[in-house]
Amino acid sequence: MAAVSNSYANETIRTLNNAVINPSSTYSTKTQWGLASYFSRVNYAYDETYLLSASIRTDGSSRFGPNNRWGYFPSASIAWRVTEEDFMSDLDALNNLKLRASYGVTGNFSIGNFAYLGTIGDYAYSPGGNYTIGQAQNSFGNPDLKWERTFSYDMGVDAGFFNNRLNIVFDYYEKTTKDLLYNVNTPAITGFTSSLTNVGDIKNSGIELELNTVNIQKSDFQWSTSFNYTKNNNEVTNLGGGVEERTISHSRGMDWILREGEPMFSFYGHKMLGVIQSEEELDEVATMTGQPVGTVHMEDKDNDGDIDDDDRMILGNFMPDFYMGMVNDVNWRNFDLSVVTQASFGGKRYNLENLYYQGATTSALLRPVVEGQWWSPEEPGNGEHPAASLSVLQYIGSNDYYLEDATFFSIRNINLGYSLPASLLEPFNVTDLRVYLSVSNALMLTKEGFNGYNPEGQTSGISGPNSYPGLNNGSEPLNRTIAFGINMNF
Amino acid sequence: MNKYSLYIVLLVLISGLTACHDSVTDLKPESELTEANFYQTAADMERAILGVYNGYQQRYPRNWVVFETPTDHVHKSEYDFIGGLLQVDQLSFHPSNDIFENFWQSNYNGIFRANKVIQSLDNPDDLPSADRNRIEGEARFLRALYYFDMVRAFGGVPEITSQVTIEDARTTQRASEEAIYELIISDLETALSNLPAKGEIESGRATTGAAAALLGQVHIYQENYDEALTYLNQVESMDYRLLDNFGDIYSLENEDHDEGIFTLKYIQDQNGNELPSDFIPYFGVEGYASLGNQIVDLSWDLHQEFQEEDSRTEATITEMWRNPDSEDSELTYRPYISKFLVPHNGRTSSGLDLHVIRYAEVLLLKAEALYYTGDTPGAVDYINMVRERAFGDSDHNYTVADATSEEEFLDILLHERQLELCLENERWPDLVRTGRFIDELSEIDRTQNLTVELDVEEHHALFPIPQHEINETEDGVLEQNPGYN
Repeated sequence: MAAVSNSYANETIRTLNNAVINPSSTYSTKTQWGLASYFSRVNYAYDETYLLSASIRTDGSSRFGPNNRWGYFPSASIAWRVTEEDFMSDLDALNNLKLRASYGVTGNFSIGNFAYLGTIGDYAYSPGGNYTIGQAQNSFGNPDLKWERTFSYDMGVDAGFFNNRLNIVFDYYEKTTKDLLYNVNTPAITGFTSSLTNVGDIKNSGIELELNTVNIQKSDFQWSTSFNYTKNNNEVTNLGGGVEERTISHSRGMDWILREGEPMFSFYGHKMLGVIQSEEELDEVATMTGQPVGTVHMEDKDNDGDIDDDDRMILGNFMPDFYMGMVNDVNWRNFDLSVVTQASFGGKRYNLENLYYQGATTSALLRPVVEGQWWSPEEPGNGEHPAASLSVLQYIGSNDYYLEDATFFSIRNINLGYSLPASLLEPFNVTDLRVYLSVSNALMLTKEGFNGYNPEGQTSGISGPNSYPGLNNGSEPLNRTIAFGINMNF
Repeated sequence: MNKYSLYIVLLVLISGLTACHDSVTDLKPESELTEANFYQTAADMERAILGVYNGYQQRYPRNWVVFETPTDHVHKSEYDFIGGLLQVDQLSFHPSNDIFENFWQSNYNGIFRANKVIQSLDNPDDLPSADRNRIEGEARFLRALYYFDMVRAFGGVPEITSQVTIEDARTTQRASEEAIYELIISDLETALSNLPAKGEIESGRATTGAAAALLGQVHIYQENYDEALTYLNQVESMDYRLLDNFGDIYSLENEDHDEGIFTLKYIQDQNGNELPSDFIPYFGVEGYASLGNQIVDLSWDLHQEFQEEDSRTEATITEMWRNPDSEDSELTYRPYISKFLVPHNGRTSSGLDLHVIRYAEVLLLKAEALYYTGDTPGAVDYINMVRERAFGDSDHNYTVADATSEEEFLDILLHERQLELCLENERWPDLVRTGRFIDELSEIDRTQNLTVELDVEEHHALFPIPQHEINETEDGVLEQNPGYN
């Protein structure tokens, strides 16, 4: 319940009964959803060597229409502990070897309640000058809505060597999500531009490798390392509705594309070749309508003499090609040190925030994006940075000028500690006491040419088919925290 | 025997299996209105028709983006409020332009709302037939307005008169321009016979006067001048008149005046419009608004049409401006359109009511109809009625000597329509229907010192069908207008 602003009769009574209640923001609501599930499972183990488990569950959700309320979700896994076999007992170096494979289906029903029905919303008009609530349907019903399902396969090996001084875990996986529940575009003549639909399929496949080693194992000196590597391939395998691609346009010109066979939400726009330096060059090169000197020279892909939508191409993707991480733990006498590092390779960011640091708006300037800017034919800069006033933004934003490689190496955390000897603590009834110094985000190295404050920063994630992942329009910079602390146990 | 271990776990709810899960999964919405439980009662229908008005009321304030920006009245300012505006301003229309896409989408959403009302009219059993007829008249009037905007922008468009499925929508082709005009005329004729007269219904709703005036306008677009005259004469016999003072037409005082024929009602901060902000300087206007949108600036081409003795000049254009933000700023020459400027917070909603069609336009339409039915003196008289109100006397009247040819007549008619109706969404359709857009728009004086040349071609008469909509239909279903492929 809310009051109409400035409607209190006086300042004395401050409860709602002294104000005019605003009907448009006063409501109570009741909603409900139900989920019914049936579940069964089989576990089987033979001699702790051959392991098998299988299950099936059936779920019915009130969120789907009567036609497709129920979903079926089987799963199964098998494993073979090779080292349990008699023929392996002679191999001393290899103390653990397990081969495993699994398959499973999971379901997603995280949509609104009664989303399969077209809903009615309030839309006011003011006949006779009186604000009057009217109503209109504001979504398109879809009685065929059904469960989104993810089919996963995984094959892996666990191996331990030299009494588990070296452990290797390796996995290959493939996950296909089918019938994604998203709002998709519909022809506007239906009255609506989108409708919640089971839209299409996306496949993620890749490998994960984990290495754990105990490098030094002595009574007063231990050092262990854990390393991981992940490479994921994403692919749109089906967009549904007979379409092979959809583009999502941002108002500043860059497009994101969903195209079958390509990673989802790839950047799609013009290729920058340079900066148009002079009127003479402007006459020679292909341009967009009305494009002035000092803006971006773009590739005329179809060689028709002008730059238009047909000249766009895939320019990269927000997802990294692969990433790695490493954790080192060292203990020496009473000192302990832990260093966490992380690296990511090949992801891109559309750093639209650079715009705010180029002088077009009244905010700070950032040297690398201002230096070398085109000012005039006499001061054309270094040919890499176009003129960046707001009035020419449409000739700058639609190409890869703001697209930057977000590859990085970082030291995420350093933690150095010292534990006081027990003998010192005993008189004070303290079991242990550790003092430590920790630094988070100690180091972040990005590639030259990356101007954002945080290579992982983005201001828009994935929330449906009309998303702009990898758009950085001013995300929060990384903050470094230096902490000094004491852990004490009694 | 641990070696042979076998576990089987089965969790099954055994009793009341189906009865149990139906009560869990088969729920009915209790707080949400849905298509399943709406459009059922008289009260539902009364609210649903307001929903149709709402759609038009929300879009109309920015109709100028489509119908005034590509003309010699205004040009895009240095501020970017609306994506794609520069292209519309420079007549470099492109199928992927957001403006046309949004225009298309919001119109069809309005058409959907009207269709839902029309197809649900017989659902309620508590709706008296008089109300049923009125609601049908209102819905058909509004549907005609939506389609009239569409056909003037794009030519023939898909003719949707009831709810369609997504699958059908993907295979629906454009209807011909004639078919859309036939639909508009038949909707308006039904509206005319079903709607109450002015004064018998709240202001802001459709009336016989509104239907007749729009029928007159539509018939003029179709060059059916006899039919146009019939309807315009009907409007003339109703209770409308020119206000004495042009400046009172768009003002917050006495908004339900006798010149408004179909007027959209707005209430500040509740369901207002930003039109009073759209044309004024970015930094606002002292005493009126602390901020402005300044989406477009006044073009010199329009500015120089205005004469000093014409009271519309002062009511439409303000020439001097000082920055309200800075104490020591002085009045400088900085002309802007102040036709719709009323006091409001600035860059926010205002309560200014907007007239979709008003009596002065009916008089000018009648002048046109009279001319093309052979009555030149009558035509000149009707233009003069509008002029006399503006100048306060008959000294500036035209005579038949000013209209010795069709070209001359169109010169004075279009000139008068500019002075009277500029920024009321008539200029682009006027230039297109008279075939003058190439001549008038190839060279535009933006300011006294800046003349731009535009590459205007015949095919610009129709805007491009939004590429987004073409992509959403199956291949080859939605045909692009010529010149845009």
